[in-house]
Amino acid sequence: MAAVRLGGSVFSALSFQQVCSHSDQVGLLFGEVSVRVKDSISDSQINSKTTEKTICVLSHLPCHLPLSSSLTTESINKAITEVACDREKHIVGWYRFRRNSSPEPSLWERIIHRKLSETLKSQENMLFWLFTYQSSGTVSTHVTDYTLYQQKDRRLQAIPHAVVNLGDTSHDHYRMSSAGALSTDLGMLGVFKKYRDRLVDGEGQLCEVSIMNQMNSALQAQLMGLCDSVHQGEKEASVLEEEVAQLQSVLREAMEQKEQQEPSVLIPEKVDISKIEQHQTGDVAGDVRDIAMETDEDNSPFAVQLRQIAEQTKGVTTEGKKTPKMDRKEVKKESEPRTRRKSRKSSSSETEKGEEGDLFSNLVSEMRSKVQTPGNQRQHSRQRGSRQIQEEEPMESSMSENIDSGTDVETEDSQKSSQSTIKNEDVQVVSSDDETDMEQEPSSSPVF
Amino acid sequence: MASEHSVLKQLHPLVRPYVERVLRRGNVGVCMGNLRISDVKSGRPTLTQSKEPCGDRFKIYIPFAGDSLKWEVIFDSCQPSNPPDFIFLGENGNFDPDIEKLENLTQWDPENPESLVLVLEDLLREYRCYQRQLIEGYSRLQFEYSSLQGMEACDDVEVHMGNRLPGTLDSPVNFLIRLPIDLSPIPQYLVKDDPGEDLAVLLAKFHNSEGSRVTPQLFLSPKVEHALGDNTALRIPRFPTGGCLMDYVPQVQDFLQKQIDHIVEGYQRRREYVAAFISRFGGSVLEYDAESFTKLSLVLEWNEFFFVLHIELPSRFPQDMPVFTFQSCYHLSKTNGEPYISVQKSYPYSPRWTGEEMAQRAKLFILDFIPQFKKVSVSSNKL
Repeated sequence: MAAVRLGGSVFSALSFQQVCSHSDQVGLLFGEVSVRVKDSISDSQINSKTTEKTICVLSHLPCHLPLSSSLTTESINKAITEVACDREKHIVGWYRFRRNSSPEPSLWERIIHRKLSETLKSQENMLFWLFTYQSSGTVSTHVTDYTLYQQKDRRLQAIPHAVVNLGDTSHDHYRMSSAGALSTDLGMLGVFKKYRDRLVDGEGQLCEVSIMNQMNSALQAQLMGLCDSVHQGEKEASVLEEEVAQLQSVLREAMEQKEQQEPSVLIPEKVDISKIEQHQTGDVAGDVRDIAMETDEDNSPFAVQLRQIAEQTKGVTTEGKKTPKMDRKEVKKESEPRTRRKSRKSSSSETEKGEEGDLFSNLVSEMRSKVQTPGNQRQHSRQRGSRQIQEEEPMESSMSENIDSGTDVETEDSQKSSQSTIKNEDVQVVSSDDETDMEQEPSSSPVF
Repeated sequence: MASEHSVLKQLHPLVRPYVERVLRRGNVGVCMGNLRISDVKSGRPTLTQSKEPCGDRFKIYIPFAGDSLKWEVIFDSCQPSNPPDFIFLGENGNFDPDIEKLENLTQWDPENPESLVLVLEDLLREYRCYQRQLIEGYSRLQFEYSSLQGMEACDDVEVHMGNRLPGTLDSPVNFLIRLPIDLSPIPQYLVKDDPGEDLAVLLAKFHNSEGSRVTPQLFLSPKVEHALGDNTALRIPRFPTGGCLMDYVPQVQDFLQKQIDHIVEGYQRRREYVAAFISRFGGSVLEYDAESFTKLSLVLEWNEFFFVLHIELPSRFPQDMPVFTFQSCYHLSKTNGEPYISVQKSYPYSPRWTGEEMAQRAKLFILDFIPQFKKVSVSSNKL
């Protein structure tokens, strides 16, 4: 059975017209019959076609159909032609309105329906819309009933129908097909046709929808690119980490060999300065003390220096983040901007340790220079060019720091200075100045 | 009549003539019952209805086979020349007569007041055909109907299939059969309103299509009912289990005929009796019942002693003897102060005597009894 949709405007116009009428009314209904084939695919059946027929009532027109013995095919044709000249093919039914009567088809209505179906040759789809009206005895309540009938088994049977109400907001899903409430006015249809090309592409799809889809695809591609680049960067980082670990192990082995070969060399045990600073300095101090203890009997100036170094390192480890003993004023410049001071304050702890570390590192470097080894040379070169190295490869500087425990503090400082270098050029300048100052005044070192 | 008058008053002037004729001559069907009209409404807007009568649609109730058909008739007061429209309520759209067979409807004559009556007759004729088609699907009912059609004892038959019984696919079926009995000899029954035509109809109600349970009822016109008594007094034979109407209807007809014959015979004998007394005591007749001949009063004289003789004929006359009541003209009874009376219920009598014979014998009895009556009246009563 076909689904019937009645236009809301048709319904309201008919109701108003009938309320204002003086007697019973008869008229024709215009609309369209559409057939939609729905092919659904499910797990059990690959092809399941269902045919849906929809009859839409879009307009109406009063018409005088003869209710008498002159009710013949010719008279009906004449009545239809008078009212609907060239719209006969759009006739989908007829209606009748009568007051104070039962909502059942009467004898004449059945006859007219049959004659109309034969005349228009649409037996199955012909609709009959019956309106009745009643009012209460006190004329306070007025009731309008309407029923839609269709011929079935030689009888007029009531069929379900839906009145299209545009104000109905109960729908929670999008309409996949036309609601069947469009106007059939040629002017309105012309406007729709004119703007359709702008809104709909050649395949019948909305333009904006395809553009949004394209943008979505581009965003997806860009995201995939970013994922690839991140993946690449992670791969490179892992390769570099492996390389660093290898180099560290090589250096470790070299240091061990060297210790085994030359135990008198005053090179403190290397400690991984990147991990624990105090532990490193403590170990260094311990080593230095040991060495100093070993050479204590000689009371050589070298031994005295070692003892002093040990005391200094011990003080560094115990005092922690105390202010450096070095006179800052000697280092401080009047032209330093505030930002430098602020950065210096922010890294005060680092610079304090760096200053003390610088003394020690200088001492160690002097001692090392006496014992020239390739690794140490490399270490020194690294320290000298720590600035450059720090800028380019901060990992290598940390690696160099790990190799030479004597310069742990210095390397730590350089590392921190390198960090500050990366963050702030002023700090870098300060640290470089500090290093420069330290280098420039080795003889003014109060420690020695 | 008052309701009919109010109905006519509400109708539009152009519609009123048709309805008036229906109420006057609308006796249709086997039982010739009167049609009833109610629920007069109008097709015009509510505001215009109060100004003038403009009712142009109403409901009509038609007695048919023991049930009442409810049809709605719709005119259009704005177009009174159009033929009326009909809604057959309660039929669910199943009754769909062929328009070609409704000549009075297709050739509606708005000038003829009888048009609506003719259209109703056409529709009822088609409705009877429609009901006959309904019972064709049931062999038992079809057999009953066809057998009744061929009987002489059956004048006219209406069959009506009611609504389907709840919970079953069965429907009760009514057979209304008009019995061809001559009811003209029945004494006249004078009432204020027109009692209508004399007829007797038998209603056989089949509670299911198999006919396992049938309830018969006899309906009589007012004159026959008055003559025979009401339906409860008239015990018709029971419908035999497994029987059929073809055998039962003649039984009922014979029974009814006997009752009528008995009634008619008694009426005739009473009339003969009274006629005989009048012929014999012509100048002495005080009064008598000229309708049913059940009473007769005479003023008689014996040796200058006048008295009144009241004769009452019982309903089972001549089987039961008349009652003579002698009433004194001179003396009052000491007990109640009314004229002294003497009731005589036993005297020489025979139901086989003719009226003349009975009058003769009654005269002899009176002559024998009156001296004794006079003596008692004079001695024991006061003036």
